[in-house]
Amino acid sequence: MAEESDWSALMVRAQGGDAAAYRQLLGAVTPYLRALAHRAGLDGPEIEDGVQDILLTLHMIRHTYDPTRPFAPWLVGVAQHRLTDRLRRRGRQGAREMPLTEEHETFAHDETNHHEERSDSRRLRGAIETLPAGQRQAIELLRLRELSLREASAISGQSETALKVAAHRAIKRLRTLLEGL
Amino acid sequence: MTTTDHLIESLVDHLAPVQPLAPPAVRATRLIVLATVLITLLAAARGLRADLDQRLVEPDFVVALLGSWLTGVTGTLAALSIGLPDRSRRWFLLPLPAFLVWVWGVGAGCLGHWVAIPTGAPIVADSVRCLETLVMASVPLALVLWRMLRRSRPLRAANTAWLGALAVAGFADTAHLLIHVVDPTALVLVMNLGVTGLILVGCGIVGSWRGGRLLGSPGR
Repeated sequence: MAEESDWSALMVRAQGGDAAAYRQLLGAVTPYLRALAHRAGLDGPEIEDGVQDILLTLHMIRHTYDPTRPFAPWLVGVAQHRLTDRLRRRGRQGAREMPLTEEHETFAHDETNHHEERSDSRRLRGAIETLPAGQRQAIELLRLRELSLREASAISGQSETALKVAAHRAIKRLRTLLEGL
Repeated sequence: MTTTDHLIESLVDHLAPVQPLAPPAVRATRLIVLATVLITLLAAARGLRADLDQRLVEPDFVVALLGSWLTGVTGTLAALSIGLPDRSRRWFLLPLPAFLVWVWGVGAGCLGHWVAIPTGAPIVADSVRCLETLVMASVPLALVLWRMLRRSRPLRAANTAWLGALAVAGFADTAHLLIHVVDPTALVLVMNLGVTGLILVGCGIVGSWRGGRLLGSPGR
C-alpha cells in the first residue's frame, strides 16, 4: 500500500529529526486515528481527546518504531492501547457517576442555570490570558488538558520541575486575580 | 483548550532526533550473553557443586537445568517484545513451555532424591551461600534488564514486569543448580516473582499509572 510505505518513510525521517516530515505524518494519520477512535466507540469531543492521547504517546515512544517493519501495525498498536485505556476509564467513571438531568437543576431553562457559569468561565479565560507565557502553557497542559507532567514536559520542552513551579505560580496568580469570584 | 492542530504543532516544535531501538532479539541476545557470562563467573568463583558429575547424567536434573536457562532466554525475549505496540499479547505465553519443563524437572528431581542430601551435609551454611548466590545472580541481571526495559517504554507494563522477573528467576536458578546441592527453585521464584508482585500491588494501591512509570511507560 503506497500510503503505508509513505508513512513509514515519513516516520523514519521524523526519527532523524525532520520536522517537516513529522508534521506531514501527524497530519496524514490524524483522520485515520479519528476513524479508529470512532470505531472504538468514542463520540463527540471524546474522539478528539482520544486522538490527542494517541499522538502524545506516538511522540513519546517514537524511538520504538523499527524502520524495517511496517508502520501501520505499530500505529494501530499505539492507538488500540490508548483507546482501550480511555474506554476503561470511561467505564469506571460511568459506574460511579451519574449525568445531571433537568430535575437536578433549579430551573429547566438553560439561561437560568448557565448564565453565571458563562460569566465565570469568561473571567477565568481572561485571567489565564494575562498570565506569562510559561505559566499559561503550564495551566493549559496540566489543568485544562489534564496531561501528566511527563506528557506536558514532552510537549512544552520544559522540565517537570519547571512545569510544576509554573503551574503553582499560575494558580496563585489566578487566585489573586479572581478573588471574590 | 489545546486543539489537535495546536498539539501537532507543539509536538513538531519539540521534535528531537531519536535512535531507533534495536530489535528485541538483538537486545535479548545481549542480556542472554551477559547472564551466561555471569553464571559462568559465579560458578568459577563459588565452585561447582560436588555431585555435579553424577547429576549431569540424570535426565531430571538436565531437564531442570535446561528448562531454567531456556526460561531465562524466552522470558527475556518476551519481556523485550511484549511492550512494543506492534507485538502481540501472545508473547506472554512464550516462556510457558520452558517454565513448565523447568518446574517439572525440579519436581521430578525432588521426588527422586527425597531426603537424598548426604548425611551431615552443611545445609544451613549452604543455605546462606545459596541466598548470596541468589542475590549475586538476580540483582545485577534485574538491574540491567530493568534499564533495557525502561528505555523501551513498554505499553504493557505489568506483563513486561512479570516476564522480566521470570527471566531473571530462570537465570538465577541455573546458577543455583550448578553451584548448590540444596535446590532453591521455590525460593528463587518466590523472591523474583514475589518482589515483582509486591511492587505491582503497591503501585496498584498508590495508582495504576505509577506501575508503568517505573518502566518508563507513557502516562495515562
